[in-house]
Amino acid sequence: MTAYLLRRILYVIPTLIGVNILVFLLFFLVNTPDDMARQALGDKAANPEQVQRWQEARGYDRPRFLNTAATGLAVLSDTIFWQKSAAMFWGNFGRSDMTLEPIGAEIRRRIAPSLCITLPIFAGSMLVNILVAMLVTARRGDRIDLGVQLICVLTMSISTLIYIIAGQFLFAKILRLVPVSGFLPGRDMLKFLALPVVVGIIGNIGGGIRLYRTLFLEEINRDYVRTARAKGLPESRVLFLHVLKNALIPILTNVPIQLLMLIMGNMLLENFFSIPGLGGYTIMAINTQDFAVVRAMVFLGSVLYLTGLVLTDICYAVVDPRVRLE
Amino acid sequence: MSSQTAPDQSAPRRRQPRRRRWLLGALPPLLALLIAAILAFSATNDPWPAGMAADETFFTSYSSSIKSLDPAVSYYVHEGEILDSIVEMPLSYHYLRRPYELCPMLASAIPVPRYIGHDGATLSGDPPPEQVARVEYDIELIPGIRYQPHPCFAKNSDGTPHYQQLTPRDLKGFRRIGDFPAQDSRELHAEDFKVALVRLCDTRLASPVYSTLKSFILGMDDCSAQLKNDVATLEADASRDGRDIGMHPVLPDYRRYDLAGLQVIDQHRFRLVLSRKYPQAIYWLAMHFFAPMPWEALAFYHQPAVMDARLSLKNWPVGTGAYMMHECAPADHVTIVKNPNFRHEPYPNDGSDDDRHAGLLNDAGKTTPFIKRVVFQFEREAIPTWIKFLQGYYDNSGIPNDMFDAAVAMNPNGELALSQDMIQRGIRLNTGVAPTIFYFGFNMLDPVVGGNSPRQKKLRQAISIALDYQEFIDIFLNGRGVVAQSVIPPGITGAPADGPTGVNPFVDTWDDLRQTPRRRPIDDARKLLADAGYPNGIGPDGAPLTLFLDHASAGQSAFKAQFQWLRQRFDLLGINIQERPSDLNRWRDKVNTGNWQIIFNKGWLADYPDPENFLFLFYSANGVVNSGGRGANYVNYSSEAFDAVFKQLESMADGPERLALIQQATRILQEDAPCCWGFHPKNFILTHAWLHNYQPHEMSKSFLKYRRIDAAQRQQRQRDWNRPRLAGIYAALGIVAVAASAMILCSKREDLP
Repeated sequence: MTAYLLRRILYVIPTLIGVNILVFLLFFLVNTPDDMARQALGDKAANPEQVQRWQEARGYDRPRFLNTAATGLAVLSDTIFWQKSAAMFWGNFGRSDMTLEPIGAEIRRRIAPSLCITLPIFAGSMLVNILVAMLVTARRGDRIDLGVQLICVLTMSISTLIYIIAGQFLFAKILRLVPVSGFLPGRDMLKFLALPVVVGIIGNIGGGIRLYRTLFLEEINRDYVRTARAKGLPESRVLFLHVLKNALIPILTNVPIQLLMLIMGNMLLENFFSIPGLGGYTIMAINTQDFAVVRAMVFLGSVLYLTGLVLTDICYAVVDPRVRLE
Repeated sequence: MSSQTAPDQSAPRRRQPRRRRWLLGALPPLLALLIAAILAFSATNDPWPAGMAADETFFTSYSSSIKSLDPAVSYYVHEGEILDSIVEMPLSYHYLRRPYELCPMLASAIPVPRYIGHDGATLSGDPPPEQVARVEYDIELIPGIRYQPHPCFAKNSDGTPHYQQLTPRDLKGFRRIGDFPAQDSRELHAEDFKVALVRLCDTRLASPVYSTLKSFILGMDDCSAQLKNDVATLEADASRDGRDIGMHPVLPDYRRYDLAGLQVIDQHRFRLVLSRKYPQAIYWLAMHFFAPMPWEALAFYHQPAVMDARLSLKNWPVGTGAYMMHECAPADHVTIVKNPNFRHEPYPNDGSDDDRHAGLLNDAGKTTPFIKRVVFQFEREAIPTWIKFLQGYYDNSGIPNDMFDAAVAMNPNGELALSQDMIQRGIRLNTGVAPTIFYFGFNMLDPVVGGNSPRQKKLRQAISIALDYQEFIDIFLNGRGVVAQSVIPPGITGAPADGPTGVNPFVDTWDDLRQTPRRRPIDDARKLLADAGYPNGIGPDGAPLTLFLDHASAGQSAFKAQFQWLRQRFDLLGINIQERPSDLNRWRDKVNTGNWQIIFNKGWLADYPDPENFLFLFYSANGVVNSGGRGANYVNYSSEAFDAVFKQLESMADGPERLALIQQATRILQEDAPCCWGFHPKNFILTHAWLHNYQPHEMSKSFLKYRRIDAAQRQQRQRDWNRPRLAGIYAALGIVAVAASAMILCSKREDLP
């Protein structure tokens, strides 16, 4: 087990190095520092001198991989790759190209608002998905099952954007129940989070219910279920105590990876509801062509994803004794 | 294998207690009641903290991210709205007078240039530029002006700064400048302007205006070179001492640098020295790049602990303006509040009759600022902003494209006016033509569309006639634009007059009936095209003339529609137009190397309201190709006649003689047609009835202090417009609860948990 885990962790390191190098090549070979400076300065101010100053101010005037003018370790370390890309391995995300603010501090500040919407959406979706999937599993084949499946397909076919705009129009403009967008800390936060959380849950349930229904249906025909029924247990107890417990194994093993990705926020919801989280930060960086932030977010996403995968492997071993990692 | 028997479905099950069923049945109504109670007590769509609307607070929004509020760096209009309310400059613009007129702000008067000849003697009158060795402006400050309260000014009893060598522990829990208990102020000194200008020379700041300023302010280049050397030395020393210069940049003492272009005469006077005659320099004194910078602020913000606490000049500018920063979370909102040390200047008491009728002089002479607090909210999407405006939670707003028809309609006179719904809400429409031009450019280096031969001119004129920009404005801008008759927008000296005399005769005629210019008939264009050697668009080789539009807008739906319009217009002449799309970087390379043929909707926004800032776009020395990408003459236009006129008017003081030269230059450009003069955008801003003294000003953003809010009226309207509609919700909740209860109570016993 320990050897397996070590092996998995060791696989992560070369993968991350690969991601890091690939991202660097994409950003710095396709889009040179010169191009970045011109985009940031705009046509009006982008004369060669300003371009040079912009690059100097952000450290893009260094050589990319090898600094032949330097001596010792500086040959490697006094380069764009080392300063802007490799440094992310030890948590130094550098500064934003646009605002020159430290990216690491901004990420730390924005995690909480992101989690304020992604966590309730995650928990709410899980709850709704499991309860409804359990109901339709119990009534499999009848009208309720068909009706729910139809609604699921419908909700999956509609873009989240439509839910957002319709939600804002109905609940904020017509019914005047919640603010259309914004974010305030403390108790006031609730009135701002209600609508994006509901919209997020509605956007998630279609696919979720169908997936969980499939998982529950797989379980419901197993021997132990038949045995439980034979013992005279009510159907509800069979479903909630036995089927749910066993069907949760594939669900729970996916939780670590999903939980970690929650940190990255929800780009669409944060953007439309003006929530100052990491999803909005990424969108803003893309819109303003703040490549330093985009690079940092891509790397952070990779780290979280790979960590999630390792945790998933661990969860399998812990939750399901049939799994032997060796 | 164990044998299995089928479960007996008819096996007896435990009987559910009757009480449990009733309890379960009661659950939905109870839940519904709980939700109803929560909604009744907490439902509100008010996005602001309780009680804020009752205050004299102005609520507005910005849709682009804030990059910096440092006056040396900030270059965007939405940043200017905030920054220019905090910092002040030697000069400003008059709020109401049009055309735009400079007036003193920190200076006691508008400075007058003193021309010094090559022999060191003062030259009288308005000497030609070649006789001028340097120009001096003496600027005298109004005495007694004080900075906002700020911890950087706090001092100990021995005169040393109260906050120096701060540690992270000292700043624990400090998130705002207002969190520092000790705050003080000091009087504005002339040296603060020197610090600000020397700081612009620091390459690390990469100020966007440095290269422009150094072209006319004496000694900025030398100062920048010296600073660069000193910074390198300081950084080497700091690195040796273990300071992370990436996270904690070093600070050279800007006070000890000699800058020939700015000499401090005494505490209240300084001299700006120009290396050449450049009358437009005076407009730069009204931009925030010339805002004074107290050295104490720089020293305060450069402490490592302060930087680590994310308190910096970029977010917390220090100034003498009517407002000061209160909260700065640029990713969410920015709040500024009244500066208690502001000198309370009076509201302007002179304006036009139109201003008087519009109520813009009702507060004449009253002490400003009126508004106590301004909240700028970051809104990334247009629709939520619009909804909040209609709910009364924003005091002003632009009009999103999707909502234009709901807000504005054509009135019986064929003019755009507010819709009935907006009028009933008491909303006002404020319009203003932006000092901007968007043009359709021909590459003058191109052998087909470029060049100055009569045939090539006729080809460009023919295309200009075919491109009916009024149609473009109607289709794509909802009428929010004015067809350009020349490069100079309305409101700026030298702009074409309203009426027949202001029409570009090579492209337009005057429509007496509608009293507006209109394009010449397309047959005129066809004739010009034939004269140019392309009858019906067929070239000398017998093939249709094909032109290539270079752009970086591939994939944009708006561009696709615009290109269809272009193609349809060119079809009228029998000219075939093809796209040559490329990404933005390659497109820039093409522009810089002159490797393009025609470009569409290239824009220019004025830095200052002088025709020189538009005409210089066609001065040959500014040709992008000739200048190696330094110039702004994107079409690479070159005309000896135009250059001669431009050189004269560039350095001439305003007056009838200069106006004649401007008109001459304009006429040369109209005839040569290096561009089809597209359009000047028109800004539409809506304001609520409770916002007073709102007058759009396209050159300056320092007028928040003049606006006034009727908070009581706003609060009343907000209440009227936003009462939650709960009846439908209660009914729906009731129906769902009853249905759920009925289902539970009537369901088979075995279905219950």
